[in-house]
Amino acid sequence: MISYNNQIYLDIDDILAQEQKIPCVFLYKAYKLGSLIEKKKEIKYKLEIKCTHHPNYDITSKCINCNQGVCSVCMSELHNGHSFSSESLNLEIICIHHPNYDITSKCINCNLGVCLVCKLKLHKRHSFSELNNNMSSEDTDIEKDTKIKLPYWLAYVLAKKSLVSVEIPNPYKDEHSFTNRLLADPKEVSMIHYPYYASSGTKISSLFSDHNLKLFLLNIFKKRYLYIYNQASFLKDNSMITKILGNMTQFEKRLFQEIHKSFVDFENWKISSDKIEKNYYLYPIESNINSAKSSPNKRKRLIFAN
Amino acid sequence: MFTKSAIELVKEIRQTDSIPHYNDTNIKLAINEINVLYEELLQVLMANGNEKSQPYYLSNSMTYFSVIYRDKRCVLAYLNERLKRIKEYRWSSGNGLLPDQLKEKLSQDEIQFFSDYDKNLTDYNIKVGLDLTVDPQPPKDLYVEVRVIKELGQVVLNSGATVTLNLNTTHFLKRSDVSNLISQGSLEHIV
Repeated sequence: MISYNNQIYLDIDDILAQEQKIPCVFLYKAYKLGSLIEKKKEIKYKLEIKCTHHPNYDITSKCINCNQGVCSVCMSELHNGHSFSSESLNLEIICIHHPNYDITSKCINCNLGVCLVCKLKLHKRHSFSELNNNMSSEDTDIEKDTKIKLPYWLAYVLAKKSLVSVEIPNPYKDEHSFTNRLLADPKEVSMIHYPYYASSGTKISSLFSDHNLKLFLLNIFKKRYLYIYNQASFLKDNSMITKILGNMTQFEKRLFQEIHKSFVDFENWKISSDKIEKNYYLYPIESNINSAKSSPNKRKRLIFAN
Repeated sequence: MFTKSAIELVKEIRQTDSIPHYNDTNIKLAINEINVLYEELLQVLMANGNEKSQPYYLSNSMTYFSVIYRDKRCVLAYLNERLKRIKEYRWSSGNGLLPDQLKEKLSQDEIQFFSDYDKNLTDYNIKVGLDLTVDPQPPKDLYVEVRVIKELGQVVLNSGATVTLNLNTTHFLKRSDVSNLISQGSLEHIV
């Protein structure tokens, strides 16, 4: 884990690649790790409240615009164009019937989320279970067999001491749809959701000592590299370039920019202009563009033969 | 969630290629987190000295330790990347002075670092007898034609010559003398 080369040791991309979440199962009861884990996320899946509008679907996310819990159908129909969060689901969902009240309980008879008023009116004489919003208290022990997602750097340490058992994250699994799409046509797949796919992948493959995953990543990279090289050498249009860059991992972006730059430099060299450019790189110092217009009458030529 | 503020630092600097504002609050949050976790870690280890290798306590101490380590690493990476960019700025601008809009983005220590770095580089350049930041590639002509786009008045050049750079005049000058002024945007190179 420790490298003597400072540049690698403190590399930004390397650090971000290690944020890849890995599903872990605790093998023992663990001492006071409550605040560490996004327990809310886990509880979310146990809510199982049915959607009021579509009784066949569970509520899976929260609409940030309306503060309502929504199912997958609501997302596309009723809340079209809104933004959703699946993380803060059991925080402050308002009741659809009574917008002044939050949903606090679940009606066991109807499997619906209900507020205080619903309890008394719509769901009279039903039985309820409380939805506890404060499950992630700081000092909770983690029970044995709790399944949570931990970032790579933590999962690595805990797995080495056999405190947790780890699973390969979804996008690296053999049968997962993303892997299949990559296999089918590596260059057409957008990496926008996995900006560190390859670099996290190599770390994960060494954690699981999975040699096949490494070969798989290498294979994908070879095919994508050819594509990137071609695009970088031909593309001139900036809007096309940004479009293509959006589908790449961070590493590929850097690669693309380097290749592109070298081709542009080569073109410029062929024209062989030796112009000194104004430095736009970091902090262009403002210049007054209007006054830059030259008037030929005022031209003077001074030669300093020094 | 632990390490949140530290990770935000790293993400923030990843988003841009320039030098963002020095994020004092997040660094303080991260350092605070390290201190709090260190205290707790000590407490757990002191109170359960005999059982500290039990999985029940081991998982706790291992986690806290790696979170502390991780926090530190993120903050260091953030600072290191900033220093790298500050050095890069010194080389690409060829200028020993910080412009105001950049200066307000740096912390006191970084400003100090910049002036020390500048001093080192200038000393070295004087010893070598060559400004290393100018012309990394060999130029084709020794003299270039430039137009003044920012009023400068009378200027003493590196080579010792004095020239009056009035607005909108063009001059034929030694390349090494004016390349800094061009990269700062005061002059324009006419081809």
